[in-house]
Amino acid sequence: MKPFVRLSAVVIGTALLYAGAAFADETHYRVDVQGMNCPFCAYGIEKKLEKLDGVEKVDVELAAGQFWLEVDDGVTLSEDTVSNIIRDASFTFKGMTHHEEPASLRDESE
Amino acid sequence: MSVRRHDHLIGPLLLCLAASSAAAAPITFNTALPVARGEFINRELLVLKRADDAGRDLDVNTLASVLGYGFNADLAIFGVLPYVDKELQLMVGGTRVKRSSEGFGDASVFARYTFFKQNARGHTFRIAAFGGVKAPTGDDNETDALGRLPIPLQSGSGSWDGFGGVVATYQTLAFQVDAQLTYTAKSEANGFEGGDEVRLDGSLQYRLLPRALGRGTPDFLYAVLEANVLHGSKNRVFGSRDPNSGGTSIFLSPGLQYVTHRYILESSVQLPVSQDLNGGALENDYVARLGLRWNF
Repeated sequence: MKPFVRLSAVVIGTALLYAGAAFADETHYRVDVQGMNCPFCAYGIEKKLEKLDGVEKVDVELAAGQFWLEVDDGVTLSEDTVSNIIRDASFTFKGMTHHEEPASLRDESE
Repeated sequence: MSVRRHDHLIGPLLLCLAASSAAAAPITFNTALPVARGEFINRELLVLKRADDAGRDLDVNTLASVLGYGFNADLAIFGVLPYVDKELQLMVGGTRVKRSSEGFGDASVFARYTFFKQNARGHTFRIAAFGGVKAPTGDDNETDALGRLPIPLQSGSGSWDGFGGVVATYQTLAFQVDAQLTYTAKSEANGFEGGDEVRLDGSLQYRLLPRALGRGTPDFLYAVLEANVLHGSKNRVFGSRDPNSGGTSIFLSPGLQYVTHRYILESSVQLPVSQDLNGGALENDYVARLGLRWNF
């Protein structure tokens, strides 16, 4: 194996290990909501989601009708708890899915 | 030396109907959009009204504080407390006379219940009923050098008034349409009973910015156009109908609304299109509004 290839493999491998370590200490949930169509609408929900134990960050994707929650590693969010927050705000809870990748790397199609 | 009672647009009753919501909303009336359970919404609304004719100039400035609370997903309650500053200038026997009052006006409370809602991705449609009362908390016995001020110039009306109606909202990411029908029943106080009122309002809010929605939650700038149709029946003064009161008015209100996820800043100017008033009732020139609402 040529030195350049060996060096490249080492660099890429190291980067992947760091990335894996970085992703390992946080988990992400996507919450799908229907009926939420303006920034002010989202705030009442965002505020309550941020108060949940283990939730570090909440991002709102208004056009997609989604909340993305970043939670501490090992924290599991209850779907009932989240759905109640959405319903109490008078919007429709459509589901919650678990994701390993951070919000900044999520696919456009989501 | 009187101002005939055609002050639909300045009373706390109408201010409270423009109370608030947890979303973009009409500026001159209410919406069916929700207040989340356990959430408080505050709105401060400055209303500047001017009306005049050949011999009279009336300025009414009101700062209304509105507090809304989400009791549950469908039921919200609102309280409104206005602070009013009224001034009338008129000619009496060739002399310019000024009469004025200032103080807290009549407080109102009302509830709004959403009995129909249809949520989908990118839009929502809701219909809500509302009803409440305006209490005579403002001073209705103010005097000046000329004696007791006429009722429309008092900070408070002295009467308990009830109101109710229905409001519908269709909201998408690009625009919002609201419509509201309101009936107000007024009671007698100090020998004066304001005529009952029927009001029909419509509002279109169209998102100007951002032109295209990307990721995240950007601030929205809406262009707003509202129409208000008001019909008031004649007042009664000591049991007799006042021929110079009541009538039908139509207003258009262009405005702008800047919506972030924490607050809404808004402004509009309500202009008369038609004022078919009975007798010599005073006509409005304009009603300007500047409001701020926030979620806390």
